[in-house]
Amino acid sequence: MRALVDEKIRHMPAAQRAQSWTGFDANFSEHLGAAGFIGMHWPEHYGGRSCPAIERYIVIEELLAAGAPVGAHWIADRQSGTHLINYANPSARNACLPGIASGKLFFCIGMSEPNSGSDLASISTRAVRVDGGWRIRGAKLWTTHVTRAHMMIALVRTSDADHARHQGLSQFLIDLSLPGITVNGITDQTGEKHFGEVFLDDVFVTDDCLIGTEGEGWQQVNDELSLERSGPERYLSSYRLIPEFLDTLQVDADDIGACTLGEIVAELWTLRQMSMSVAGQICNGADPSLEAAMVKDLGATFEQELPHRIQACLDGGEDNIRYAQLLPVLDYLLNAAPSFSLRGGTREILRGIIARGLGLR
Amino acid sequence: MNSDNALLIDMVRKLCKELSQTQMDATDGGSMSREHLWQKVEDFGLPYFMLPADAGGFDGGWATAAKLFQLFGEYALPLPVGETMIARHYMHRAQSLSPQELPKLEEVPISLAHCSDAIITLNGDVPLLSGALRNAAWTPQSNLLVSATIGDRSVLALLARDQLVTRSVCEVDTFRNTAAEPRAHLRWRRLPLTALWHMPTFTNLMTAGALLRSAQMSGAMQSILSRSINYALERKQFGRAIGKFQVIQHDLARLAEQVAAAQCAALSAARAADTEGGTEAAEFEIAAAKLRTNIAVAPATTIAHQVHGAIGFTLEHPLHQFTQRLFAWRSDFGNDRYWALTLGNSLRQLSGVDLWPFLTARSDRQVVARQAGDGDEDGTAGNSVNGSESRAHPSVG
Ligand SMILES: Cc1cc2nc3c(=O)[nH]c(=O)nc-3n(C[C@H](O)[C@H](O)[C@H](O)COP(=O)(O)OP(=O)(O)OC[C@H]3O[C@@H](n4cnc5c(N)ncnc54)[C@H](O)[C@@H]3O)c2cc1C
Repeated sequence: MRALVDEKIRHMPAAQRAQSWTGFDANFSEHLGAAGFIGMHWPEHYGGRSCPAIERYIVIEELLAAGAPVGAHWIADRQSGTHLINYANPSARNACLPGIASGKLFFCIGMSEPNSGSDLASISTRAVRVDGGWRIRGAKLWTTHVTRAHMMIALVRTSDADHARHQGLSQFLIDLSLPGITVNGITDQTGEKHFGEVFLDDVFVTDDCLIGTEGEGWQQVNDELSLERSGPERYLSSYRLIPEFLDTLQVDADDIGACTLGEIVAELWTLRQMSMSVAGQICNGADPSLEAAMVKDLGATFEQELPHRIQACLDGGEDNIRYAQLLPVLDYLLNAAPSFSLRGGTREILRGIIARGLGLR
Repeated sequence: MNSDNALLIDMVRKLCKELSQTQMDATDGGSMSREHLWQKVEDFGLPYFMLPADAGGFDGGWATAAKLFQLFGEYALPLPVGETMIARHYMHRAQSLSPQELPKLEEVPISLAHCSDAIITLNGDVPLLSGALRNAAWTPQSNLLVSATIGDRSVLALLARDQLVTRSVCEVDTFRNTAAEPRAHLRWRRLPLTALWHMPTFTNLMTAGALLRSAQMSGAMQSILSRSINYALERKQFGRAIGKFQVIQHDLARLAEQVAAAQCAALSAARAADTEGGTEAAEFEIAAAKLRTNIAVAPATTIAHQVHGAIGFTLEHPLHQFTQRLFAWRSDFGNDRYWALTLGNSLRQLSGVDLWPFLTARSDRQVVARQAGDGDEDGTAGNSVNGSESRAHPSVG
């Protein structure tokens, strides 16, 4: 795999590799799928290889460290595929999983809406039962890669939440090419059309597009979020900066540069130990959700501070040739970093989860 | 963790509880002396924990030892038990390689240090040590085991307590650190050595000491976390427990994260010392662990004190026993600057593309070695993040 990745990224500028797991390259995903590195922990009949989850963990670590453009298949490989295996009916699974594993079928996550961010249970997109299926009406927002994805797993309301607000929610598998769907990209502050909005205007989906059980959407979406929150990408988003920074230190480093590098690597090493420990527990069938939330919050804080820490110890010789690789990476990550503690659940929401785990809520 | 270990750790926890209780009673006007407390440690056999069974020890490796070090921190033991365990371990190894006649050691603790400017000369057959130590722990009350590099060879020297106060060859400047633990700056001029071992491999007690402190610090942090959570659930203001306020909850979440990081770092480094064949060979992991625990000190102690309000600022309240030790231990066996520079300067030898393979090759080798050997005390690489099964949910207690 290192060879495959090396060939792909050799000519990619560092700033592009800095996009890490949001870098979208359908061609690369197809190559990776053909080589058997997507859905590798799924059963063979879904296009997987039944690998132990820890093997997949090591593969995705390598991809992230190299700065491979894994964004196109990332969401499907990390959460949507596994979520379908856990909850969807056989026809939906058979329709999607082989395509995901071959790196050709891309997914997006339809949770947030214009009026529902952190308070996800307040969503207002609705599905109403009709003959042979459901009609869905509403809008989703901040949907990563929505303009380039084929399918969306959406959380919608299927009945009113009269008593408990977490009731009456359900999940649907929605083909984004269906009639009634409008998709617009939204340019983020790095200049990318990373995410977008989706309008669903009475979109008809068949019965087998209901994922899991009607009304159980809240529990299901939380399971999906656990898949989303526990991976190594949650502390490696700014990794590109570390090797580039290290390379600037080879010539005449001062103590400040060396100290900063030492601290960063001590934190990186610790996060990796913590993250592997969470992965190991998941492999053993445990549910380390408290630990996973702690690792994500610590990891997001680390990757968010990293560009600032490195900027702070540059020595004023930025016109120097030795900064040629580092500076574009730094520029990009300074701009991208504010999102690291928003996407996948904000810092405040995570700390609430941790406090619950500590017995405070 | 296998059941033997669990049992042992439980017994040591009981001993720590008893000792810290006795000690607190003693400060209330009792007369329990340090010597008396130490006798209990000797009676338990703890100093010999890391010796082979046939030498009267428990065969304890670094990973299990680190769990005991954590307990010493969690109970704020006012004794250099960990230092003595490590010193006995090194002395046993040195003795089995080249037996020496040992100076008479009473049953008093043995502390550790690395002397970076040591010079050894000879007076006839008797080696003489010159050099200086700063901030040496628990001296001159304890015996002292010193490592040094002479030319390209490592040596270990054992200095008995009474030697350390011999005025003619030893200058001693004693003081108390931030936590009122005894410390000293020492300077020797041609101090005659009774026991000097030439070690076949690179030996540096600073690294072992850093692992010890890092584990102790993570234990002390566990204690301030549980105390803070309990207090937040108990203390009421504005008609409810302060732990119901979101700001307090988020502060405690951040505290828990720092504790989890410190514990995971310390225990991972200890496992690395087992699989790499000693603390010197695991210097990378130990440096990272000591530095990471050091980094946790400021946020962890600040949050714990903030949550406790004024009561936590009193001499009467036990919180300071832990926070003051954390302040002090941050400087022991290498502060942030020392380890950050050591790490940074050694990593600078790599080029950027080699960093990830370097990091992963080391930990992967360690995981493989643990799975192959029987030294795996936790079953898999997937032990809990905060390292201690019994405390996977560091909530109450
Ligand atoms: C790059 C990026 C990619 C994304 N991709 C997707 C995607 O693919 N699919 C998807 O569904 N969503 C996606 N999101 C949306 C993301 O999940 C939301 O941004 C997030 O849940 C927060 O919602 P919000 O932006 O509406 O902020 P709000 O919920 O309005 O929050 C604003 C601020 O208030 C704080 N806050 C809110 N409630 C509380 C509370 N009870 N206590 C304390 N503080 C509170 C928040 O923590 C935050 O700091 C993405 C976001 C980003 C930035």
